Amino acid sequence: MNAPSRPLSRRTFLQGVTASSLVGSRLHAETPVLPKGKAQHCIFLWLGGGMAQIDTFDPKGRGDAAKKIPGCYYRTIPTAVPDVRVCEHLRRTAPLIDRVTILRTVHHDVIDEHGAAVIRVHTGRPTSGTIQYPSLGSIVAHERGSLDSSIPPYVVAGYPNIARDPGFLGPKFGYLYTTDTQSGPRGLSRPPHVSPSRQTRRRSLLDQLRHADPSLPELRPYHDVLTQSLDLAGPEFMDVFDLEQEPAQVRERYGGEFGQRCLLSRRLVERGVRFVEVAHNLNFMNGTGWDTHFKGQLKQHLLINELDQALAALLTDLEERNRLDQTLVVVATEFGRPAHFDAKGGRGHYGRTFSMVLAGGGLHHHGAYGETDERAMKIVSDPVSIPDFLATICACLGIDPGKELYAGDRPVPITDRGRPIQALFG
Amino acid sequence: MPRSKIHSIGLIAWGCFCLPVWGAPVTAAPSPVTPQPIQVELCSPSPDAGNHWPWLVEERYPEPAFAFFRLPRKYVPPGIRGDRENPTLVRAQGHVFLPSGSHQVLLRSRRAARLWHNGVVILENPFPKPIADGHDPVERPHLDLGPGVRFPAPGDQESLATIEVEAGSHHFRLEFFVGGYKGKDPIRPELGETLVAASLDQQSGFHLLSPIRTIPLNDPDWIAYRRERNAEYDRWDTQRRQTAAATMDDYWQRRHAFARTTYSPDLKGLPNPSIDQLIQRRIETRAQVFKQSTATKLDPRHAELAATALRILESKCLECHGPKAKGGLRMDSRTRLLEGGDSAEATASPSAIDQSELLRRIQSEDPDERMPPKGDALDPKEIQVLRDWIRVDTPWPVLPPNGAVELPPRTTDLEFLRRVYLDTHGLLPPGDVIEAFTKDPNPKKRTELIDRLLDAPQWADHWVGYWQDVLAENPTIVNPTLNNTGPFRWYLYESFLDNKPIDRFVTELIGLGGSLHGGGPAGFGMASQNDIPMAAKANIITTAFLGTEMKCARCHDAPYHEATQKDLLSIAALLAQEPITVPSTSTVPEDPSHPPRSPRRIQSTLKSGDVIPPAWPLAVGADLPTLQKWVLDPDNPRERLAYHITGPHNRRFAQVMVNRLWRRIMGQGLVEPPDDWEATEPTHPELLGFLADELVNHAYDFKHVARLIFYSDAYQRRVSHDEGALNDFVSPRRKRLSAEMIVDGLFHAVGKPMMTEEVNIDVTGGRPWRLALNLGVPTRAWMFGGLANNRDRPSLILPRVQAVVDLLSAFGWRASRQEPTTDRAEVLSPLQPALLNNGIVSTWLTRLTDDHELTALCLEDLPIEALIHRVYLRILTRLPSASELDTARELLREGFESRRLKKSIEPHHPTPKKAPLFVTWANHIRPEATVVQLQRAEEARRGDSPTSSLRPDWRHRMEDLLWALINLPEIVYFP
Repeated sequence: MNAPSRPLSRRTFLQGVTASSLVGSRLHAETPVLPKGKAQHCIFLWLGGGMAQIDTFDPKGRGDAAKKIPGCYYRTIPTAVPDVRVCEHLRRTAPLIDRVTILRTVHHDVIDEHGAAVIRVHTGRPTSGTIQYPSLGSIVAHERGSLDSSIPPYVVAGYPNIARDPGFLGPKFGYLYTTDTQSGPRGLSRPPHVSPSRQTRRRSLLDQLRHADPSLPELRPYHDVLTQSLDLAGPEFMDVFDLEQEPAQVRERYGGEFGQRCLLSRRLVERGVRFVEVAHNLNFMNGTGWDTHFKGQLKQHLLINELDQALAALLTDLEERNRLDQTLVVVATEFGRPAHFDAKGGRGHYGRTFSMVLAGGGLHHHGAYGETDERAMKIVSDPVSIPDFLATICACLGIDPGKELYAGDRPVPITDRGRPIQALFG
Repeated sequence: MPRSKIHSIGLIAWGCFCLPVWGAPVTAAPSPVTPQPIQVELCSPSPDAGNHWPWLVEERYPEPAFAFFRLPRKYVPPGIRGDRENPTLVRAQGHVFLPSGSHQVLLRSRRAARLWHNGVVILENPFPKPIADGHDPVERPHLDLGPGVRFPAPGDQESLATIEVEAGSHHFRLEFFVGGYKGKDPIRPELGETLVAASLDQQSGFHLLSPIRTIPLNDPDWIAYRRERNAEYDRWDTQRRQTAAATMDDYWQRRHAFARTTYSPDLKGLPNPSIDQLIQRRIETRAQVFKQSTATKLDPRHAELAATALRILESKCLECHGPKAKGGLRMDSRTRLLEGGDSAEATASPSAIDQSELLRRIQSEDPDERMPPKGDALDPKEIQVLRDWIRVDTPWPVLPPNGAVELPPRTTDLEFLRRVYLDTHGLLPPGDVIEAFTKDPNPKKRTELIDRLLDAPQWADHWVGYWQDVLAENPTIVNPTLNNTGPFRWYLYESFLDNKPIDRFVTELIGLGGSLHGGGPAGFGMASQNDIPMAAKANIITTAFLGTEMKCARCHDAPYHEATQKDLLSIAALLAQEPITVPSTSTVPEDPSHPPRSPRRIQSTLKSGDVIPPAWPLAVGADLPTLQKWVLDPDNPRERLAYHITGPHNRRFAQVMVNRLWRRIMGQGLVEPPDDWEATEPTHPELLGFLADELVNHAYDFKHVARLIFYSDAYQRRVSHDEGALNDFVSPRRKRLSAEMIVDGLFHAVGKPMMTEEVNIDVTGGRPWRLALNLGVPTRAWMFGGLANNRDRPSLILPRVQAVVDLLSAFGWRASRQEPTTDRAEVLSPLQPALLNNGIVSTWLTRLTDDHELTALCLEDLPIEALIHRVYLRILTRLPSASELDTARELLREGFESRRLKKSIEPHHPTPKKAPLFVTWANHIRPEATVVQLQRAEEARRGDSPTSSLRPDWRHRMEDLLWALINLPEIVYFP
């Protein structure tokens, strides 16, 4: 019997390459010293649809949708940091801008399709046909775990989607999710028709049956995760999701459903969860959510108001509880929008520059970083690429953004040559 | 001759349109003597209108009624799905007997439609306006046709006329369009529920217009009619597919006869070799080797040390430094380990162990240096073991201490049933089969069952998920950007349904023909927003069918493989049928100002802009004369490529395919990993060769080889607990159920229909086909797809689909298959049991509803023990132990006798008073759309209402038992 033939056997394996290139690259030791922050948690607020920078965190001269004059849709107001202005609907956040850095020059080139842009911002990479890259949340879960190993490190308050997935890191670094603050996390909260006493009966029945016979040794690991899941579904962890336990005035301070999700994120972080992504997808407020084409623009202020209230409440609350320095709060979106208006008075997509927000996390904050032109459409100084944005978050959380993770046998750096913004690590 | 008159035309359609009344009364055509079915003609636009009638009749077939929701599929040679012309005009006509009187006639259609009565147009639905991308209204008007009448399907328009007729046969003719365009983009060729119905004398309620049948237009009758017609269409489609395939049968028969002449079976010294004989012979050979090696008298303490060292190397080192030989280093024999790898230094030597490279690397603090590079470092104890073992100079332990291999006993009938159902159908054995099989005294019952299972269509279902992974089938229901493909799942399914020879299956796949969006191999050729789609496909093909991994060569020469980027692009050019220019995005940028952290281990021989012509770069290829003889069109690069891979000269292809089959069934390949053979050797070359021979000599019949494996003693033994014996393949390994098996298995075991939404967010079908696929309503797990709701819009969720997708994903199914994979991550996580504990699917599975088969079982007149037995058999394919029976009896005893509130299930079909609102792409941005979808999500979460036939208190306890059983760990493992 022959050994299987080798279609490629006419060449020998890469002679010499490994050794020579190894020596070469070691000489490039000029990389700047990596900043390392001390933040323990990240709360990642996601504005799905593409927040218009010019109507929020990078406002410029006033425009007029009816007359098709490009510019900001609202008036602007001063903030706690001189020369940094925001739109009038961010009045609660404005006094807190000294705890914040608005990154005004984030950019990428994927603006034709939301799905692809959402993935670009979450993973920092273009889609490839050879590998699925992990999301930021999964990377943080992989690198830092949770503070308490019995609970999941990564929780999403929003819908599951590929951009939030663990990719090559595998399902172990996936997330627990809850679509809203009422129904509780999927898989852990009691189904509506099962009363607590029935739940107790079920569990004791399951315990009786699963220990009735000595089971196969190969089943042991599944017994263990089953026990873990039953424990997670118990009150010890599930109480975190019970916002009723918060004083009424705290709940009110956070505002509507998005605010309540932010409050939940604070509770999760306090319980030891490492990364919480909170989706602002209350699209019924204006129809389009942050994707303010056409008439979506008309009620955009409702979204901004809700964001403002929740963000300000979260920052204040974290600060009052002495947690702001350990908790990096990020406001992120898939791309920005242009200064000019579309045919029906809304805005299209724009990616050459747009704003993301970092707050807390022990960073050296500036109010704003990076400068754009008079329409917030061109970068004047200090561009921030998506890899740089992600590298900054990683560094803030003490993760080396250049560290190589492994997709099978392939080394993949956490970010694609992203460099943390040095100015934030003072 | 009956005469008729159009009395009035009521009109309430979506589009505002008014129909002029042409003259009346009208004389009808002569009527046939006996009622005949409706004749349907499918017409395509004539390219030469003016010299020909504008419509060419493509085919004709009969229909029982004026009701259309599906057309016979179009199959093109070599037996693959094609596309019909867009648009297709459907013309249906027939004579219907009507009593005299004033009757209402209803016309519903997705696209434009016209209805003639005795030659006069009486109703017309217009061409719908193009949809607005999200801003169309959610509320839609519809006609009030009285109670119980089925509402129009989403996206369908309707109109109504009243005709006054004399008794007699009346001629009706319906014409409607399927397909059309949005702008210049074709839309999906869907029919909605196109129908004509009549209410006689405006009193009797609406019935589908039919010369031969009486079918009321209500939900249950429509559903029943649809089911009946679907079965007929399935039969037609099979015939059509086989007719299209038959054009190639002769070629393949000749080719397979030729293949048989290229190999004379190597009998290996056995007159009639079998799997079991070859396994036995390997065990005996190894025992011989062992006897010789024990002659050297091993110190028992050293033997134990060596065994421990081997375990450490196996778990920490051999994945890379086994046959893969990373860095040229192999650690799977003591000699090779000590020799070292490419760096030319010895890895370790017994005399100077503490200065060794091995110890330095495993103890290094530098993450770039430390071995293993991923996972936990070795702990001090493990390091000590390795140090001691190298120092004492002990031979490698290759065999279990006593040299004997113990054969596990044969599985019981029940164990065998569960295993073989999972391995052939991906399902759990049905209750009635279990009972019949265990009672059957026939000694051949196992082989007969295997034959039956292999012949059933579920064999095809079982293989779709596998090839979806291996071939990276990745369709999306919205805006393909993520290396998406067409839904060639249907090509996979039908290939296995027809048991297509495996070389033919691959040849047709590589041909990339047929429908792009409708399920043909063309869909495999698509890779959205990929800079060289055919390079992605070339890697998939070589990995899947030759075990030649080329993914690294996508952008640079592969560091751990021989493949260069040029090799890969040459194959890609064969697929593309033209030279390929290297784009800058498929090269690795040099960036001196920003060097990579770790040593650069890769290099590229190609530069951006290089042009690579089509060529076959690998050593195994067909010679030119053979190629010219057997390739039908030698000028077609794809055909040449397919022949290089699948031709009988290429033994590797047959070996890779049987190894995939063997591994999927037995849990361990004869070659590992199955998709990367470059630096590996078969552990049992004789067996691999035998199976490959069997494949080639039996016309590449995959099922034949599967049958040999299922028949074998090795397959039918209980799982061995001895690692050495498992490596000898004395039994299958303990496998975990795949995600698909868990979902399909549980739904089938409890007997609950899956009933999700259509996997489609453009329900009304107004978007371009290329941007909005409809994957249909899944009946098996492989039919799902990712929801791609990356835009986070609550109005675009499909809550029931999401619930199943959640469960599938937790167990390793991939919602987005951007790259090929053979092995899914099989890690365990608490989310898996959590979703079976509290997930939405768990609610559906364990709630005793009217359509749940266990509800019917509970209503049977049977003793409590029999009920418990039957539930255990259905869910776990085993009987309860004495203590389990006690526990269950204790739980169910109270109220058992009075559990039944009714003798049987009384089906009830409440018809909604208002047409349910629906959300589709066209209206999803409306604020009401979010409200509607959140309501649907809540309904999904609550599940269907429980049956009213069982007393709630007892039903709860029965549901709890069911819940506990589906949550037992044994559920997720093979027996």
